[in-house]
Amino acid sequence: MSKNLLSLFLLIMLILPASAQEQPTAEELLACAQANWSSSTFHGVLSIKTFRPEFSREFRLEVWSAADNEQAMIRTLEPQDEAGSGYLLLDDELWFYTPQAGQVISLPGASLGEAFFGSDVAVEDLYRGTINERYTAQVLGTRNDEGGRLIHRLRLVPLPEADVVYGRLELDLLDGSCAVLQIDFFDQRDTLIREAVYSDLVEVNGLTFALRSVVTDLLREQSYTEELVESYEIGVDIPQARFTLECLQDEAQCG
Amino acid sequence: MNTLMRLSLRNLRRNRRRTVLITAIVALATWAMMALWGISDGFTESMIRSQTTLDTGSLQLHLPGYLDDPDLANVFSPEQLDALSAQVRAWPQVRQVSARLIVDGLLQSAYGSQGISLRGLDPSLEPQVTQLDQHVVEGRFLQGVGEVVMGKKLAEQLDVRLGERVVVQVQGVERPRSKGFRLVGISTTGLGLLDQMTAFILLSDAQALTEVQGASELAISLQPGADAERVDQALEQELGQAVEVSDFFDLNPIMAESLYMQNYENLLWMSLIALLAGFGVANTVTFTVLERMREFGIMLSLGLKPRQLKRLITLESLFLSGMGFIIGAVLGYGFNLYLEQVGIDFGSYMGAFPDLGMPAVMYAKASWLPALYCLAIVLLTAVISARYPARRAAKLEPSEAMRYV
Amino acid sequence: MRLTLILAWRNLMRNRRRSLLTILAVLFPVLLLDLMWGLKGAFVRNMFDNTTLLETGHLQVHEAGYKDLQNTLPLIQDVRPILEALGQDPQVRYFTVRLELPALAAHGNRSQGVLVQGIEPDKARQISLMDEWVSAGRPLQADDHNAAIAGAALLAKLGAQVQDPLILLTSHPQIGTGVLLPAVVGQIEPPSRDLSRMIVQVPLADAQNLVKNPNAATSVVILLQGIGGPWDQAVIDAAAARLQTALGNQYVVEPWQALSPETASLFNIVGPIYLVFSLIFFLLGGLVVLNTLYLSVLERTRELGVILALGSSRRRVLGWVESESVMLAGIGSLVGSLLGVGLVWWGGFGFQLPGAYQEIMSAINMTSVLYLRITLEEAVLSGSLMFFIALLAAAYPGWKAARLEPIEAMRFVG
Repeated sequence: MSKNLLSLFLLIMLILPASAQEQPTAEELLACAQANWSSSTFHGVLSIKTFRPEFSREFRLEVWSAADNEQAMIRTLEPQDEAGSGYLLLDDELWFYTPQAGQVISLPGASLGEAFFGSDVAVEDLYRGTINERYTAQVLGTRNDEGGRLIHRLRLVPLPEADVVYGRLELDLLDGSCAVLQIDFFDQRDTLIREAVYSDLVEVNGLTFALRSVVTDLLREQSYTEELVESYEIGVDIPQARFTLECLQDEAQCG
Repeated sequence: MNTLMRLSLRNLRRNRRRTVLITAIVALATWAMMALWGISDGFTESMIRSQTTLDTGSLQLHLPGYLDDPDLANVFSPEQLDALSAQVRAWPQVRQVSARLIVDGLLQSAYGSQGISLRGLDPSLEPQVTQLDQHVVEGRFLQGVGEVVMGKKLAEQLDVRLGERVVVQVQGVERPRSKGFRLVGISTTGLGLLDQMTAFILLSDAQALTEVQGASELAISLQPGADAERVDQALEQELGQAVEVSDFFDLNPIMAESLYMQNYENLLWMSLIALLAGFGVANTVTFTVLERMREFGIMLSLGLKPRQLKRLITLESLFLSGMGFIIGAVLGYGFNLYLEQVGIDFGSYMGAFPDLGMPAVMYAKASWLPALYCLAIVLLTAVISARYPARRAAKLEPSEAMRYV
Repeated sequence: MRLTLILAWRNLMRNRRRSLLTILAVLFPVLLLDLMWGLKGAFVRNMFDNTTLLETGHLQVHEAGYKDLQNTLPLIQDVRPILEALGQDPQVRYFTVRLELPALAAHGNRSQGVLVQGIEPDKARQISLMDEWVSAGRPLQADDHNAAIAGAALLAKLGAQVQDPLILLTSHPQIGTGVLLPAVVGQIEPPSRDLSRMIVQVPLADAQNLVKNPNAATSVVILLQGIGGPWDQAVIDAAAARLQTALGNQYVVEPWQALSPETASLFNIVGPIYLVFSLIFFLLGGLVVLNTLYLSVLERTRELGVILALGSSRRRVLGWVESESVMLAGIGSLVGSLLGVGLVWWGGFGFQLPGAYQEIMSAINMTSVLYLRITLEEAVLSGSLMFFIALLAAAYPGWKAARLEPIEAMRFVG
């Protein structure tokens, strides 16, 4: 669960550090992309729509994240029957609260997997630690897309013991801002099994990120998730009381 | 008494037909009882053996409370582990001791995930405790860091091929941890739990992953011929309250009860067989005694005492049964010995066998122990069967007997 | 012909003891064989009952594709049409609804993954021994609400006891989050440690609340009329086919074998094993019959010699011997069959295994009453086969005796 949450945030927090040069090396692109997860607080409202052949479901969430990404809170705004419930991520602990339960509940990290939200939110393997620890990078090439933008294609191959199920990832990075436009996930047999496409880029405080993402599960029919950032504040001051169990249980305690 | 014995033996030799018939009944019954016992015992042992040689080892050591709550909090510390391993290895009946760290986890591939039991083991010691390494059907057994071996069904379920990476996610002692492992071997043991719900990695990898030093259990294999029960008791005495020693039945209480019931069922069948044979002997002896009334009358008139006549008849019955027993026991033992080597292949009935924890081929057990029980039953039956006819014969008036038609 | 019979009969009556012994020699094996088959039937039925009456039922209804791994919660969305169809089927005598789903159980600071079983307490009681496993508190009752039974190991792990509150949390991508706040009313200690760590039972309505659907279920467990034992499998299969047609493709109706394949394959083994037993018994019984019948004729060789010497034709002598054998064997096998079948019929009402067995049996979730049963084929087979063996056994020595020279015969010692 934690990785889904953080991936959510990371999705939104692709930040532009410095301007790029021509023909960057893999290391430079990596550093450029890596700098995306540097410190900045985030507060915003997201909507996540999950589509499956049998059903579709929509959540609206209010999200706060501390600068180091080790602390985060999600409050469910919609649907109505889940409103008021929330998650609190404190380092490696995950806590859940629902008004129906009346108390906070500790969630065992491994046992629930991806059951909550059940979405396809990707990029999950990019957030943990540094990329260097889990992938080796290689520049595949540079091209112009239909809009005339310069795109760098970066290939990430997981290290043998990395906790990544994919065979490789290929990222399309926008030249200059290093914003991720698309991530292709391949299995270990060279088959494309998942695709994440990012659009509606905005620039805030020198940071570029996508307001919209669509992650598609290519192993199943008509299975994809769409994320939209409805509102956002970057670098805003978030009181420490926000990331406490008291706050999770009672919004009034959040400072 | 000696004369009576010689007389009875001579009588038996004289009337070959009668001898053969009664002997045949007792022989068949004895053979059946021996076979029943040998197959029943053997199948039970086959079942236990398949589990102990593939999964558990003959005995296991845990901290008290681990079996009720198999949590990472209840594991042996490294010091305890070293001390215990050394202590137990020193026993002459112990062949090898292998430590395992067991933790529940999630196994993930690109196509799905499955909750499993992760077993960290030492590939240099484990092959001397279980034969898991001999059941790797594709690839090879564990050797190095970052490797994983799993059951064929599990690999199929997650669609993982040799050489590919899977991600293992566990709840470590501090926090959730995950790591990639490379599939180096696929195993088929026939034990459902091992083939579908377990993945094997190096003990050191498991320790690093969970951030726990030490191990959940010590699995012990014994030297051939060692008695598991005795070693169990002796170990319990020596190790005291600090360690819990478990044998197959402690680890599988339901199985133990079922086998207990099975023994009673066998006893029932054996009783029926004995009853039938006993009746057969009694009927035949009575019949022949009636038939030999004239003969007895002559013997009585020649000076044989009624009491001696009674004994004579009883002796005949005993000898006949005894001979039948010997033939049946030897045939039975031979039969069991054959099945002990060759076994019966239930492969065609396989179906869900793997989930029962039973091997496809099951062996009998040849032992002289059932022969002792059979002997007791046979002798008892012989004596009882002879009672009525012997008494009848003893009450004869010689002159009456000689005229008997 | 009539004369032969009368003479034969008179002969038999003359030597009552010998006749009786011969009759017994056929009677007893037949009786024992019937008893053995009766017991076999009892054991087989016991195994069958233990699975179908205490675990799987005769049939179960699930959502189609429920075994598919990708399907995390194969819910029957509306169980009412199924129940209606079942109610209308005259062969269905009992059914109960179950809703099983994975959940998180929490108490205080601790939480643990569990399996929640929503059951109808009064009905489920009839198809399980769970009441016997209750080691503290009480079992669920029909009017319970917000109550739960949990495994002892689970409660220990959560640091909870009977009367403590539990939080049950479920999550499903389609349904969302479900929360239940039951109080623990009872604790069970099932024979399986794994079960003790995992199981939480709640009333069906509460489980349905977790999935926000008052008509949801994962399975319906069904018992049929007129099922005496595994020999009525055809009835079960027919009912399954009928119900499948009635319910359509959305659901799958399966017999107990699909739900307990381990027991099904046990039955596969049991067949040949009991066959071997039967053969051994037959052989043994046959030997006993052979023994006595053979001897009974053999020892009358002398007597037959006298009759031949007095002028009787060989054919007539043979006729006498055969008639006598037929009569003896006939009475023996007939009375043996009557007694044997009678005994099995009486045992068919069920007899309790003695005290010690009862405890063991319930510990491993089994009933301890045995119902003897024998099939028509078996009953006929035992009597008739022994009869024919008897005839054969008597025929040989009789034939030989009739072929002898009277003087040889009269001097026959045997």
